[in-house]
Amino acid sequence: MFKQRFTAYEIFQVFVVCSFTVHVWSVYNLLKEAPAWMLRMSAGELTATIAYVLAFTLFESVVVCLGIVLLGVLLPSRWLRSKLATLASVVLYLAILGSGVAYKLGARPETWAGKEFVFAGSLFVAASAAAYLFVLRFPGLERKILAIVDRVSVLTLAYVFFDLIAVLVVIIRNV
Amino acid sequence: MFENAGMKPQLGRRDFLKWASLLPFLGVKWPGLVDQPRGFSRDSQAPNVLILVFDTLSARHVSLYGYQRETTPNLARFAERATVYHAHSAGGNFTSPGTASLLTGTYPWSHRAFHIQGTMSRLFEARNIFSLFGSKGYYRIAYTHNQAADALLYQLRQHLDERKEPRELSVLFHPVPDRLFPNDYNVARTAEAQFLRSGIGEDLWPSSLFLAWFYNTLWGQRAWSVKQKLADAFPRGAPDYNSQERSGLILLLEDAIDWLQTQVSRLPRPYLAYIHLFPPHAPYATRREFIDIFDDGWAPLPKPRLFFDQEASEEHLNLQRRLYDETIAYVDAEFGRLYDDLQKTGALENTCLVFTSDHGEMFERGIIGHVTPALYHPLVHVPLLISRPGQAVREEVYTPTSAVDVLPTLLHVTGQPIPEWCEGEVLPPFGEGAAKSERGIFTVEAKENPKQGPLTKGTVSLRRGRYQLIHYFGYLGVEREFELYDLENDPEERENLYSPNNPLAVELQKALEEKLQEMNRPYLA
Repeated sequence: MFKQRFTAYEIFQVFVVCSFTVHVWSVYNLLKEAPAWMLRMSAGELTATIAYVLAFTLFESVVVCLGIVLLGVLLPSRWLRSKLATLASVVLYLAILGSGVAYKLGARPETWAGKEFVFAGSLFVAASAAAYLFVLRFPGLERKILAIVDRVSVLTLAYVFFDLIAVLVVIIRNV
Repeated sequence: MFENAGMKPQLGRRDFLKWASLLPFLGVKWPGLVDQPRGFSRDSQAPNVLILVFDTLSARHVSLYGYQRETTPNLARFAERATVYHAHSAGGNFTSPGTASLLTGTYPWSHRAFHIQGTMSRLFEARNIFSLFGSKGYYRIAYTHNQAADALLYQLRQHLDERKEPRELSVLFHPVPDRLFPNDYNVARTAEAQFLRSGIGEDLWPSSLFLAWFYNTLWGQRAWSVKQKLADAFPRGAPDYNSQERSGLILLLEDAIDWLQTQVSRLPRPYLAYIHLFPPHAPYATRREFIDIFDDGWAPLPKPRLFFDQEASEEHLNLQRRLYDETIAYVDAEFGRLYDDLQKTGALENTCLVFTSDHGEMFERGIIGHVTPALYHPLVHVPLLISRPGQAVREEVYTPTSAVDVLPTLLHVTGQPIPEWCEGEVLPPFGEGAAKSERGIFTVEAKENPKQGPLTKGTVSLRRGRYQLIHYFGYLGVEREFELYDLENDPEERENLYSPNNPLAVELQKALEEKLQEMNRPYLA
């Protein structure tokens, strides 16, 4: 079913988008906290802590990528028309924007009741759908988005390379 | 069976049965291989040692020490058969330094656990109360609700026969690394918190873009349902000890006391038990029967706001003070329950019971709590009561003492030598040449310095006799300041006696700065 719907390159593009955005968010927030860790940690502990965060980030990248691919399988193929990477880009960039705004406004999901989560989730889905349709109306914009995907692919591979080293560090520290 | 060299060895049916007859021996618990208490030279006559630490308990709020609200009637009962230390100081003003000073008998500038969630220098992984008592054949057990203290206990786990995890006595405990990464808990815990639960400050967000939303929402739902169940017993809110840090640690003091009662009769003797319980730490979650017991309208006179004013109003300070006092009464009631049980079972006849705290709390000068660079007396002065096995009368000690003295005193009581690296002294009335009144006692706040570097920004207080000098250095706008108080004539620290022309101030200042230079020297080389 996957082969009928998506080429390997399309899935690679989706992974690039997911991995890049998830890593940018993760590393940005990691760097805000890391100076405080430097005061109390040795170089080894600091490296290990960063390794854990990178390993968790790789896990999240894979989970999000699988989620987008699953979405691509579930949605009617005419809605996507080989534009899964575009959809992924829209969803992920919107997630960064939405999360940043929400946290800045003091959102605390641990205080939410279920309906607040459903409302926020619905808002995000609706915004993603609207943004996706908007992008589809402007082929130039879509081409630019895909160009960004191509350009960040090398950086993403570098992230993944460091993630794999991080996973190795985590394994070594736990055996 | 393998006599034909060069041939492939074959295991016959008879050989198999012969070897199989040895299988039952695999089930034998061979001495030395089994996970049993490590008391190789156990001395059944040696006294047990039970150290009971209530987090954030300021002696200035304890009626036993003269506080005007009757917060600790049960502690007063215990005092009738204990030595009461009236001028006891913590090693630091928050959990990590205060606890590490208790565990190592050294000041924060030596053990280096002076950051929030900080750990000690590796040197102290071999120099601590558990390693010393282990060599004497003591069975060593430790438990804490507090994750900052648990980071230290985890660091010393190789010297513990049992380390009960915070999760085990919690109603709700949501960090997962203790299950996923038990061999690397301290590091994994920090990373997990960063990934999923960051958000202490406005601009500190979790590193997870998606999972944090799901995780925190689901966890919040679970915490909410637990809090609903506890709402009747705790109308002011459930005892959620890390709600600000999103760690979701809900626990009941009652559960810990119940557990401790069962341990006292279960543990192999002699034992050393270090039990560090979270209350009366914020959020001052008091059980229903203690609510409003101190709604008496009392308000202490406002004090001068000199440094690090958090700009809390006097009304807010007094309200928080009352909530804290009511929580202390709750803690005292639970301690009373434990004390009654220890008396009933006769456990105190062969147990040395130490009651103390890791640091204090303050509600004055615009400052609430203990996360502050300040080192005023309410933050530093903590209770210390030690009951010797079978002690029947109360003794009073007014000599200034320190958290670093607890370890050498316990070593002395249990007949062990005191290592030279220990910075404390044997407390009076235990032993000859006990701690002298005129020695200097220090409290150190240094959380903004690197662990392996000189202390260039912080606060150090020096207590000598009746005087306390507080020295702030390296802070923006507070580059080098001093305060001096006469705690005998001015226990409320209202009149700052510091002046460069005051000979006493100059003498104490010189002693403090020389000590600081001495402790910084290894890091300046």
